Amino acid sequence: MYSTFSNIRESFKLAWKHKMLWILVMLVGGGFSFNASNVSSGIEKSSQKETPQIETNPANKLPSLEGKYNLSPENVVTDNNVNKVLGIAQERVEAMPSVSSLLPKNFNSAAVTIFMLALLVIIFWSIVSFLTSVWASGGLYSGLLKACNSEAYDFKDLGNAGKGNWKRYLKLAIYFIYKRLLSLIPFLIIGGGFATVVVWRLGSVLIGILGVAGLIALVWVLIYNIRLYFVGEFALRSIIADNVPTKATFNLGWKYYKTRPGKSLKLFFALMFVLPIFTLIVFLPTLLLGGITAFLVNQEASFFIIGLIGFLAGVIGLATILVSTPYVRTVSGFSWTHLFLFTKESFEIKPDVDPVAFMYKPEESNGQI
Amino acid sequence: MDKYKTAGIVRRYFAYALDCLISMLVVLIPFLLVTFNAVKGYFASPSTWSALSVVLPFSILFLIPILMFFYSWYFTHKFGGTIGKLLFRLRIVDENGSYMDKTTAFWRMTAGYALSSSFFGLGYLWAFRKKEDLTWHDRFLSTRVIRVGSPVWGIIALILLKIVLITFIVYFVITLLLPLVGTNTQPFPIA
Repeated sequence: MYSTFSNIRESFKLAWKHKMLWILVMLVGGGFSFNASNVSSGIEKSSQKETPQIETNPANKLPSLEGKYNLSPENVVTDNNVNKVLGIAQERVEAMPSVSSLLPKNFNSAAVTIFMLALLVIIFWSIVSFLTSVWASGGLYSGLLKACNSEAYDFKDLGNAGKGNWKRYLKLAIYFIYKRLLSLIPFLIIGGGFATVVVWRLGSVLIGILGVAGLIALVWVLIYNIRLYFVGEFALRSIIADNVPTKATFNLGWKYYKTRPGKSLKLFFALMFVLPIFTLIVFLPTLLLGGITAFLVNQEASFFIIGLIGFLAGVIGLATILVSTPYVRTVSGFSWTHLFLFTKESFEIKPDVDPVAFMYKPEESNGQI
Repeated sequence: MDKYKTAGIVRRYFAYALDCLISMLVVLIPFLLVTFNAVKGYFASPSTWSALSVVLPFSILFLIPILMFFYSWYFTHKFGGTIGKLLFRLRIVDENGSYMDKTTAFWRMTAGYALSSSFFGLGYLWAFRKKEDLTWHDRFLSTRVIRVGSPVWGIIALILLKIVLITFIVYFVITLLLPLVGTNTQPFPIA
């Protein structure tokens, strides 16, 4: 019987056993990920976005400079015609060229050309990285499904799965990007209307209506994209497991998600809770050594001891990152695969039925109700 | 090609070093020369110097790696390896013993190398494991690197290119760079 707890517990065991998948997990996560591949990476990304805020004083509370500094030319230039601020003769200050005249000839053309070149290079390597990630997805999801079904596999099987399915994963990736962009259109239209109304001051009632509509559209975009994340998790596995065309895979993803939305949410939140705690636990030795190093620095201990403990902390920290990152990601991959297989089981009442035809039929005729 | 033995990681490393050296010479020499010319032109006459002269060094720096990528891809599937590998008499073959197809060559160069480079290059060191001499990218893509002859030309090329590179750098520093640094110039002339 499926339960979120047993799913995650089993995933931890399987992820440790199948270290070969760690390599692919890193490649999928390292490349341009079209779909947040796991919860933990999402958390890391969101935490990175937080920037420290500098406390600023409002302009009206700053102390007045009036009367303190007089930078008028007659006050800055001394009697012997020397600029007090710049420390050079006033004639030289007056003779100084403006900033724009210091720029070399054709500066703008050169800057634009170099920028275009850099953009070209970035696009090229991004495409290569994206394709690499797509290839690794084929191998990874094939491996996850085989491991969950206790089937044997080796490097070659995973490589062949990557080679055989990369086009379908690419299509699905593009389809997801397209869907995500499409979901922004209502918000952009309403936002554009709202901006126009505000700029042209067409009436407060209209501003209010469009403001509320914009807010609803924003909430809808967020909810839709969160649901797309769940659909993505199912669709990525469905490509290998169901072997159907891309669009049908996407639709199957929706179908799987809608069958067990509660379990998807539960798993999502459980992973969001368990994985950071697990990460924190495995990083405890590093944190402890880091703390000891800081303490020794504070106590002005010998340089050798500080260096030794600091070095040890660094090595252990690096090893922990190297092991925990792919492990945690693989655990997440296994958890979603378990849920996928559990959801899929409820569809497999008639295994001989063509999944595409099955999907487009009403549930009643498929014997599900 | 079954009669040929799989190449060891040391020989593969030297072939890789030779490829790196070739890439460096192809990128570094033109880059340093055109950059030097641009800088020299600036010092000679800052007021008439055109910023467009730095576009060429940037083009070399940005575009040659992409060209090298396509060169490696083409050579790998067409001749069974890059120039470094060919000179060391190594060939990359698939499980049937023939040269790889374009797709496999592409995946080997992109996803394959990325796989082996992960975990601090553990995938390359994997070739020391057992007696198969197979890296992760070989295992994932069912390829292997075989020895088809003596590596003597590769070793000669490696030594010669090292000498060329060192000579060029010494020449560049002594003959071109140091006199330029010693020149008393005024980059921003003030009237």
